[in-house]
Amino acid sequence: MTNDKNQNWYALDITVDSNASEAIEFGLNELEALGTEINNLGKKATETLCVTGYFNELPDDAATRSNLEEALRIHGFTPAALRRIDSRSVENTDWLAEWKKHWKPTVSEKFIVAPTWETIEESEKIVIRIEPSMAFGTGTHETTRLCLKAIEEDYKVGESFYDVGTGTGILAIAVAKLIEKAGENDFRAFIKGCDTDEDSIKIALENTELNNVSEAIELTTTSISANDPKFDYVCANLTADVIVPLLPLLLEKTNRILVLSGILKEQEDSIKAELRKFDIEDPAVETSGEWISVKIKK
Amino acid sequence: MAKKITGYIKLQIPAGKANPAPPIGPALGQHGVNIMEFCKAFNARTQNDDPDMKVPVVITVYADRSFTFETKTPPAGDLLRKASGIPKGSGKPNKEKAGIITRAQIEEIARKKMPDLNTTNLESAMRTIEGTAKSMGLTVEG
Repeated sequence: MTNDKNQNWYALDITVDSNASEAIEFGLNELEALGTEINNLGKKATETLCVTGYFNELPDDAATRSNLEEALRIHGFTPAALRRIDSRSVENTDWLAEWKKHWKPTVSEKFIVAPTWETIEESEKIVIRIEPSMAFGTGTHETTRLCLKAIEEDYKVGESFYDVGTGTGILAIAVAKLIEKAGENDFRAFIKGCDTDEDSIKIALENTELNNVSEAIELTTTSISANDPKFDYVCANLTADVIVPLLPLLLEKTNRILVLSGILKEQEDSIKAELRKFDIEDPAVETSGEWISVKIKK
Repeated sequence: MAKKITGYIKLQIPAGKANPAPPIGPALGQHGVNIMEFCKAFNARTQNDDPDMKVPVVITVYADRSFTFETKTPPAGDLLRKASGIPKGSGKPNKEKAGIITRAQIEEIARKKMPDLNTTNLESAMRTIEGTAKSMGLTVEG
């Protein structure tokens, strides 16, 4: 999920009768909009609302009007439903910043995951600092919390650990910090994080430095590979569609415990069916919100 | 007590490809929504859908900045265009025939769209889809 800092976008704001908004969405799609946006749904059909289409390059005025009027005709509206067309450029902004303002620390049994800008009072718990940027894994999401919970429950200090799809690096950092707290400062355990997204690895590296554990963790811009050694504890916080094809490797590279996360509750049966192909029956399932994690002990 | 709703936002974004760029960034950023969380959840939910198809999604934002979202079926016009293979914005459907679509395809689209068409009657849904198809210049066969 990258975001070119120099890239600007363009928007067409189409003011239209409320009941004709879907026709305008169709018209904007026909004009190759990247996507469309409507705010304040639920207005009365007699009111107007604004449908915004975002573009890399604006279509010309004539093409815009003719496509939108055609879309209205197809959907049974007259051109009069189209009230106004405005265009503007959309500057590349740190859209995550607004959310960051409201991001509060996440506290679990052993960890406090906090953004860099938050002051944390002295605590017995391990503080993990995360700069989320454009990578996933702030500790606030259920899928990450399920992995942290699994680590708290049964990661044994000194075991090697593999964070597959590391994102911000949060899980690898959590393990490194557990080892550090236990006094194993020589970091004998091998901890590795991988992610196919180059930006994520850069952010993970910054986060390992931020938490003073960069020497303990190896980070690579790769997926799990046949060349990887076996790890005692493996966490794969991905999505079900990514996990399934990786299952043979994930199982092969796990010595003791494999945690699969990023799976929707409705995908539980299909993941279990996949695991049965490897003679794994009734793995432990944890639920949080609409998400589950699956823990396989070998 | 019900959570206070502070925004309804409807977006159309390609299945499985949500990222912080527009429209998601500007649309959700102003509401303080955790954009990456939305992207991951949306991509997980639409991972098996056609990546060339934009999926309508309605996001409800609450006062604590938490949110829920519901995906809808793509617009009938998009489904018809995909099924018939006609390129975007082709010709002037008003005056010339843009392509052909079979009745079986109309039925398939009608079944898909039924949850969003406010009807449980397949015949009625098919008539609506057929009307849109004809307006797009498609000839219905079979």
